[in-house]
Amino acid sequence: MKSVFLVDDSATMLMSLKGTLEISGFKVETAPDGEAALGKLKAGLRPDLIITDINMPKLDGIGLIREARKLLRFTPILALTTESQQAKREEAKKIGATGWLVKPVGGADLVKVIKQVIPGA
Amino acid sequence: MDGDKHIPAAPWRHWFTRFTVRDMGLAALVVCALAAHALWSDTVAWTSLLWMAGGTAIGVWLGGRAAPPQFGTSARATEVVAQDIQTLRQAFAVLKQQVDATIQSSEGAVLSMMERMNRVHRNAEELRARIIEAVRRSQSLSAESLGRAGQHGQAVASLAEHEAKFEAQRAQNQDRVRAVADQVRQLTPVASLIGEISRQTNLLAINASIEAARAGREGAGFKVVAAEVRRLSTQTSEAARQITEGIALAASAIDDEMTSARAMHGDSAAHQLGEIARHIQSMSDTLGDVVPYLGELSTHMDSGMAVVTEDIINTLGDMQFQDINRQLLEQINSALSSLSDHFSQIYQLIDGQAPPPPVMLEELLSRWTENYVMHSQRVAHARAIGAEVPEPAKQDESANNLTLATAYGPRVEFF
Repeated sequence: MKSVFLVDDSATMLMSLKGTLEISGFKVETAPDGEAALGKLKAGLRPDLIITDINMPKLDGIGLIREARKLLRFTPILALTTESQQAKREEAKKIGATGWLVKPVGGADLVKVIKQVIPGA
Repeated sequence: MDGDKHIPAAPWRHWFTRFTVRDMGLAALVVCALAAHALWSDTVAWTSLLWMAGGTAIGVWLGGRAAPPQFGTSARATEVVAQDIQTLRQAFAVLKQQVDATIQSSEGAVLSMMERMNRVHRNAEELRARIIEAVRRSQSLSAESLGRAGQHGQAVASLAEHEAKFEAQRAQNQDRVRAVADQVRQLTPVASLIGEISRQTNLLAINASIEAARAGREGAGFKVVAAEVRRLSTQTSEAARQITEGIALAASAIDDEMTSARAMHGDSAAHQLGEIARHIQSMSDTLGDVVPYLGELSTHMDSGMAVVTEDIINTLGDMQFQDINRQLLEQINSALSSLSDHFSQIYQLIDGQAPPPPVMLEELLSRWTENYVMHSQRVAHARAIGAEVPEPAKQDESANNLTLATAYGPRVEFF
């Protein structure tokens, strides 16, 4: 069973995405902000995919991607956000994000995207 | 909003704050000049100047006391207020657009969720109906199979009973036939003995005829007796032959009877086995109907469940609108808060207690855009202030659908 690490400061988003992915057969871990997420990664969490929001308290998505990339060189990281600034998209790309998704993403569409980025999912 | 508490104000303040330091000073100067002229009309020319100068100083002093914190002219305050009130219309338009975007986002998502939930309900009802039909059909097939199994049981029991009876009967018949055959066979030596007696009697009759011929006329009676004995001997021999043939025929008949009995047993068993085979074939036909039915049912259940699962997944996805609305409302809340602060400063300006706000409302509006995250917020703002609407919403202007303008650039992009 492939695992997905969801990072978002919205409880609704976490619930929505967790439900979607668990129904679709993924194991899901969550964190409410970048700092908590980084803590879990430093503690040894090794998911098959990270999906992170961009605008979050404490440590934002860009900061998380930058730090996570130091720990997990090949793990795909997707940004899932309402952020529409092209500059942020470019920055995420530059620091090693795998892709950029704009909220809202339909559940079935999200599963398709995940299956594209996780080998063997 | 904290600023709302300061709105009621005394009417005299508006009149009072219209006078500036200069107005008060000049008024005092005029009063002093008139007083000097009335008192010292012959020397007013030079002393009146002193009075006027003194009046000016007093006027300045009085003006300073009448409007203690002087942070500009009333005209400037009026100008600032007028400009902000004009811009306020745009600010409200911006907020209205943002609220409209929030409402559209909510309505769209909720309608989508309701539609999906209705579809889930319909599919669940259809699956339920299929399950009920499957249960009914299974019960029917089960009852039918049980009935057939009962028939098989009866047929097998009947066959076993028949077999047991036949076996007993056959054993009894065999014993009887064997006994009869033995008895018949025991007659064979008797027949042979009769034949031997007949042969000896015939020899004796021949000898008697010879002796009767030798005795001449005295032996004529004896000759008749001898001839009669020979005739009896011939008849006895014929009887013995017939007995032997009869025994052979009886033995043959017994053999035929036993063969026939065995054949009858075989026919009956074959009949019973045929019945069982027919029942088994019937069961096989029933199972033949069941297997494709179960396959079809399974396919329908799988496809139905796939549709239900997809609808549930997409409904969960629709719940993301809450996160979008939260951000929209947070921005509206922040904008209202900044408006409240701004108009508190304006009120203080009107009250003469503060300078004009460092930021005019027009600039404040443009600062709101710095906090926008979503493209829809920028589109709503541009529409409200009559600015150029950023792409891609501009293309969708006829639909006025701000929800569609949420994305800027591809919704899904792999780097």
